[in-house]
Amino acid sequence: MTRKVTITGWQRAAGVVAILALAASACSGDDDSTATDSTTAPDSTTAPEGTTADTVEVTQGGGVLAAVQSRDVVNCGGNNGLAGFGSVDAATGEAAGFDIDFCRALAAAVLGDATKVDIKPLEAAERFPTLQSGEIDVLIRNTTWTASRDGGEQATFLHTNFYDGQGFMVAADSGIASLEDMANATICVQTGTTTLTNLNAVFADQGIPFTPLEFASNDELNPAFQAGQCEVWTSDASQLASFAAGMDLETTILPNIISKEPLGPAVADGDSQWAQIVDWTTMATIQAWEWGITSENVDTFLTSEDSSILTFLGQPVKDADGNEAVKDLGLGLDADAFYRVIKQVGNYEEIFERNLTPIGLTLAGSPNDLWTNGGLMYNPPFR
Amino acid sequence: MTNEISLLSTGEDPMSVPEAPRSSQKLSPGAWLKVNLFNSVTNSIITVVVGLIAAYVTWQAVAWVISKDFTIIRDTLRIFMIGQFPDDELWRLWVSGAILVIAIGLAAGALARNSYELAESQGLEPESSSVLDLVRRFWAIIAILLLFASFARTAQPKIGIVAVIILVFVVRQLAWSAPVAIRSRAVYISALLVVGSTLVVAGTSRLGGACVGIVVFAWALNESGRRDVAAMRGGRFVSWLLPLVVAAIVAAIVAAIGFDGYGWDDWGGIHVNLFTAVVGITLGMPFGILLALGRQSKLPVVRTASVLYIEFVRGVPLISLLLFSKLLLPLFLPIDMERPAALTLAIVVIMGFSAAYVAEIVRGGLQAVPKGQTEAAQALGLSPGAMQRMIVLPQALRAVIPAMVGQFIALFKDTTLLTTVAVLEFLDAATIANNQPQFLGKGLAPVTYLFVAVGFWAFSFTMSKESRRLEQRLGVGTR
Repeated sequence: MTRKVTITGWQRAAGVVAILALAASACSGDDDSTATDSTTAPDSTTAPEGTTADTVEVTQGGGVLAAVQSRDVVNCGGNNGLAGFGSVDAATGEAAGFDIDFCRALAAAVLGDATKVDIKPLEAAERFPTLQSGEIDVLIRNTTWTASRDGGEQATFLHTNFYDGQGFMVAADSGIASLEDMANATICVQTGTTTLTNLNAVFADQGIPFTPLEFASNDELNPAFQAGQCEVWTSDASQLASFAAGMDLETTILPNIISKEPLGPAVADGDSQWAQIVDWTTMATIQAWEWGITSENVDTFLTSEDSSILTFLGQPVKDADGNEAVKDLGLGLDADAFYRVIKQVGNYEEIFERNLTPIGLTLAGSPNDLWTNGGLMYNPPFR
Repeated sequence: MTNEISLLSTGEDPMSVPEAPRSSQKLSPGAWLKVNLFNSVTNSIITVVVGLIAAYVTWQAVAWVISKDFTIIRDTLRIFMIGQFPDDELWRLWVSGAILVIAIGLAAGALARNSYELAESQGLEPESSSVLDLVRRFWAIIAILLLFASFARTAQPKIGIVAVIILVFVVRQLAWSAPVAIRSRAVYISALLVVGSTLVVAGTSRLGGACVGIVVFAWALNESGRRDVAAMRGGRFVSWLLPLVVAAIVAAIVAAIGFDGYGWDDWGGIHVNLFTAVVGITLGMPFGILLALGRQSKLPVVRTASVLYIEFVRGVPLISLLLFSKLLLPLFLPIDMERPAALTLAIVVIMGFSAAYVAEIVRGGLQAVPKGQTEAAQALGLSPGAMQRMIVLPQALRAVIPAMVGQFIALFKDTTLLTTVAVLEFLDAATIANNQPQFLGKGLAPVTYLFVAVGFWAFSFTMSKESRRLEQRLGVGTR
């Protein structure tokens, strides 16, 4: 009798264990199935014909373009904590920023709808592992293009969308006008970035002694600088300008730039078709700016006399024999892909003014100005 | 306990110990000051100096808070509360919150009344729990919710928060006076409501149905025990099988309804901290208890597995486990498989992490139960399961309440680490607020951090207050 009771007791215990394990795994994994259900369901219903080829291609070659098209959304690695570049609009809760708009441009080009983006906010350390794992299709997160990242991190960097560099900001009445004036000064700097490395390297080379005061983020550094805990604040020039714009303190940003920080989109190595799509979509915004095509006036250009503009916008062009035909650029995009980019997102200048002008950055005269105005924004021709 | 110690330690001369001023409440304020703060010249000087410093610091702090402009909180409140949850899906959060509050009110009211009646029937003095008592117990949370609502720009959140607070009290009073039939089943009803409130946001699916099924199964099992089905012919079998069938049918129906949810990719703000902490704690606790029992098991496989798990998880910082889950796990998944959401991984990690810590806390409690208790239980002929369930665990768990609540508070605050896997939690919201173009460079980080600190404090403070109350009720340390 006792033995029997013992056995059932153990059975009961085993049952409870099994149930608890089941409950925990089931409940905690709940959203997964919802997510998968909701994403796979529309596919199976809305794509009855012609999608088999895509599916085969995905399983065989793993082409990012085909994967994006069958998913019907572009996964972008972004930032949610950098004003102007990648942030969250506190009023609506939606992702907003310069980098975010380039992701939207990509969705407009590939999927025809700039809203079909999924912005995955990433910490700096996560950027390249996430790109390698295929969780994101493109990384547009104020990431500096360097040789070691292009090589060692298996990333392919594409056309730079913002030229930045490390600069110095001082209070207007500080009397500091050059790097030499900073001898024995306390310099506020953000830890864990290349900013501190650059600072140490340059000041050691020039033999200027200084005391670094380190902060985890510029948000925390800012009050310390304003309170006079340090004489100099070094960071990316774009950061300094945007913080200076919001400050009550009168400040000067020195002309000394000690590093090159070209920021641009990056994709994983190994899919040159996808890399070209991201590259040319980014450059399309610059080309449209050069031609003066904006989201508002783009429709008036559809009847342009200029054949390269017509090709750019996916309009038929007369060839040497007088036959009208839409020229296929061979990028794997629809003929009107760039028209949609400009129509839905706008050209480079519009994107800049929408996101970076509010945080106090100026386009005219900066390295980000068009090459025709003395800037660095230049792209190969669309033909 | 204190009496015993002082008697023991002073040995045969208890009179030599000066009577501690324990009757201080009975003194008048003036006399109290004299006895406690100004009873000698040195103490008077110390009192004055420390008092002046304290007054200065308080004055500075208050002046600072008053001087600050809290517009930044007003403008970015949505990020602090719900992160990026889209506007047109907001109704889900309100409905889910209302159902959750009904579940809490129901369980609280019914359980309070049950223990009130139990105490009364045993001739003990029942604990009073009027609305006023409840307000006294939960004032910090009520105050913080009202503070949050006060920052809202529109009327809707203000009305919503006040309605939710009133709702919990109304439901509690209703549950208090509900018939016994409902009260005795309140735990299961509110468990179903809790699952339901999550489904309103996440939507129903096979796994959503499974969650409902598990609760229904536990309930049905309890019902069959109530009817004593086991005593009937072939009852042992039926008492297990019948609930299982019922649960399976209910689960299938729920899964088949196919109510579309929003998922939880875009959850954020303090909402996500509370959700993660609560889920981590409630799911981590049973796992932790099982691990603790497993560690004491006589079966080498179970024991070794438990020890390995506990020691691995306790030996690694939570932040690295979170990063493992985010960065390494996807590399092991098939390339065309949908990646689990960051929050899913975070919840699993937090749950597993708290389980390991709970396991060690519970092990301490298990070891504190005298061996005689186990031997007596064996002498009564209890099965090992019944022995753990009825004799050992109740005593072990009672002994470790303070440590357990300490762990829960730590876990709640650890949810700020979710920012490392890019979940927009409460602390992270401060960064976003400071990065709005209109606030950039204004140096408002201290203001936002103060707001975040107060938010965390209210919930942690209430948790530790409740644990002290529970300790007193269960007589931890005095019997």
